[in-house]
Amino acid sequence: MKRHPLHSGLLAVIFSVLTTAGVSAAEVDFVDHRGVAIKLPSPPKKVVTIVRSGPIIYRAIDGTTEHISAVNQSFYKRDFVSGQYAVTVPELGDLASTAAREGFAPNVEEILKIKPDVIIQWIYDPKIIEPLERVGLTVVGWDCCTAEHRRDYLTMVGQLTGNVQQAEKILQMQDNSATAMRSEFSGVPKEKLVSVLHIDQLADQIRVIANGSLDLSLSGVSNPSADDSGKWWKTVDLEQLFNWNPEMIVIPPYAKNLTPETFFKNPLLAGLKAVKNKRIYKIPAFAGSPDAPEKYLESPWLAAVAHRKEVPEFRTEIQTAYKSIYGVDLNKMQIDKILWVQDNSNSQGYLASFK
Amino acid sequence: MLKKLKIESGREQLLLVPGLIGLLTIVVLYSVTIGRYELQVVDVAMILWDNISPIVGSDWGDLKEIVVEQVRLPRILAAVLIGYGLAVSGAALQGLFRNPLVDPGIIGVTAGAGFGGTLAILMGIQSYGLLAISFCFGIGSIVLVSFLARVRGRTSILMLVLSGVVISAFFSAAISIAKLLADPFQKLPAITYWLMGSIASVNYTDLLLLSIAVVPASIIIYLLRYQINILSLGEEKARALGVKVILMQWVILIATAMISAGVVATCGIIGWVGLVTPHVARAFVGANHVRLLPVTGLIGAIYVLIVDDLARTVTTAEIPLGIITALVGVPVFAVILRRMQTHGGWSRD
Repeated sequence: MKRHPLHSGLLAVIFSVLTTAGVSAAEVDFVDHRGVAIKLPSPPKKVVTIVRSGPIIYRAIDGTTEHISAVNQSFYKRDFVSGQYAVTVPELGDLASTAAREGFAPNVEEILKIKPDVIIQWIYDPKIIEPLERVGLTVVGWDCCTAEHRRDYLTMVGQLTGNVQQAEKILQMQDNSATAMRSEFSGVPKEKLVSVLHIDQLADQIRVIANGSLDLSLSGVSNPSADDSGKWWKTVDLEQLFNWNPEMIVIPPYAKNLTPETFFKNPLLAGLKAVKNKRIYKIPAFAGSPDAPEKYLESPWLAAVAHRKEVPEFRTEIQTAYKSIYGVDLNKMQIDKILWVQDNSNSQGYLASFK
Repeated sequence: MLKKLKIESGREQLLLVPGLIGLLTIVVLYSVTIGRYELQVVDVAMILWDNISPIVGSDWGDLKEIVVEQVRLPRILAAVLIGYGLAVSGAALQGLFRNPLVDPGIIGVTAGAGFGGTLAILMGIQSYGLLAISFCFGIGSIVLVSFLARVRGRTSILMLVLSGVVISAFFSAAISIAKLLADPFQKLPAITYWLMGSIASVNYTDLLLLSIAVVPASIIIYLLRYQINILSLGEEKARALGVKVILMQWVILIATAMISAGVVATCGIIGWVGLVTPHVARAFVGANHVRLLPVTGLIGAIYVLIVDDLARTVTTAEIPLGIITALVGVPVFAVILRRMQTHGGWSRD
């Protein structure tokens, strides 16, 4: 494999040039986030993904899980066996979870048994890639975690599977949604933005998402915990939470033990504006993974709850998104589950917003 | 250096306890006024006074009242109890084992209770369930130690210490296994944080449970102050002086186990307090447990309270207490060790 020091932002251009000009002799030919050229004679039959969101993205683009041979054990049960994907894309729960145990250290011997054509792996630490390449395996390296990187995941899987059109279709859906949201909220003055905290842990320490990858300006909200440290999470105490005293609190869907009721029932939190006004919401399951293709739905959802809008058409939007991305037809009950209608039923205006 | 601090006159020593009580009161009142949430001293005074005599037309708001009464006060009182309990049990054990390097962790209770709490977090059990499991494991570990230490119907101090080391090592390994099995994103950080010791989420019920463990046990230890003095002369001399050595040893061990298990169950493992504080107190009042126990307890209470103040004000995130007590305890203990070396051993004057 030949290394090219290319900026990830140029990848999309290179992909399209290679595809349209037909310069590649190989069926699969693209450059990963390390600048490594990935060349395969045909789309891989056996793919191992140590990146946890890899199976979701691969299923979305490939339209099947047939070619996914093994996935990361970490979160496999939570996300695929008993999580939201167990309802919407249940075949993800049947995959072998032997590629890695906790974290991203590869289970090399198990992977060798599979003899995969490619392995999708993070590039943040060479030590988690080197053992795979040492034994002659082909690794597609993904960087994390900007919006641009996430677009690249879709594009790369499009190249791998040969379904470039499906990748482009999903990217187009995401772009259309962002454009619509931007036109609605870009003119909102700073002082009118609704202050929202994302809290995913409420124990001895309170953990907030300080600098997440979601573009909050698309929803007309602001994050009082954001700073220029670049740290995704910030761990704070109760008094700091009182200092911020946000208008609204949202709970990421992966925070299994947290619901709005956890906040409403905690007497220590009773003085918070968000608790007094019952403006605590669990974020729908479509935002369970920051890399998931359907994650873009979080922005319109957040805008609706923050600005107390009634958006009955949002259910249709969810339905369309899942149909386009995964080819599944969701029924009312499944959409209720995705929206956490039961958990959010006591939160202000939730049932009216998404009836 | 510490030797020079020793207060020789009986009158000064008598004044030391009220002086420390006064200092503790000042630190308690100061602690209520500091924190990440800004409160004026007047507001704090009014909120506290409102409980004694309701103030008509008060308008300080819910948040300020919650911060003072529900967030700061319980943890301040918990810090006082924890510091007092750990320091007193450390002093009692150092006297009992005639060894200045002993602390409540040596008898295996800390590691046992730590494993109980870890197991509870691993199983998703929180709140009172965690307290109960941690406490039971703490007490269970002292039962195991006593079983291991008993050879041909007799229990020697050496065997007790060695059994404590063995049980501690066993539970430490068990904690490592539990950490290995824990979900790395939710439970592992929770276990790690809990084990490092924090009183950030202590409420009045936790405080009540902590009091049930610490207060009676501390009273029992204080009531046995003369017996501890005699036991610190050695088993043979104690027997010759009519002390029921075995009975006294077990009463003191169980009392210290109660304190350690109660503290670990409530707030995780806070090391070094029981080891270092008695040495500091001994520098002031000598090794007579009649004076040493209350002075040690009060110094421990003030120390842990100041440590907790630092833990909650230095950064936006709470620093676990165990980290600060270790950072302070290690250099202080190093000074004490050097002093012991210079003076040819542990001073038991």
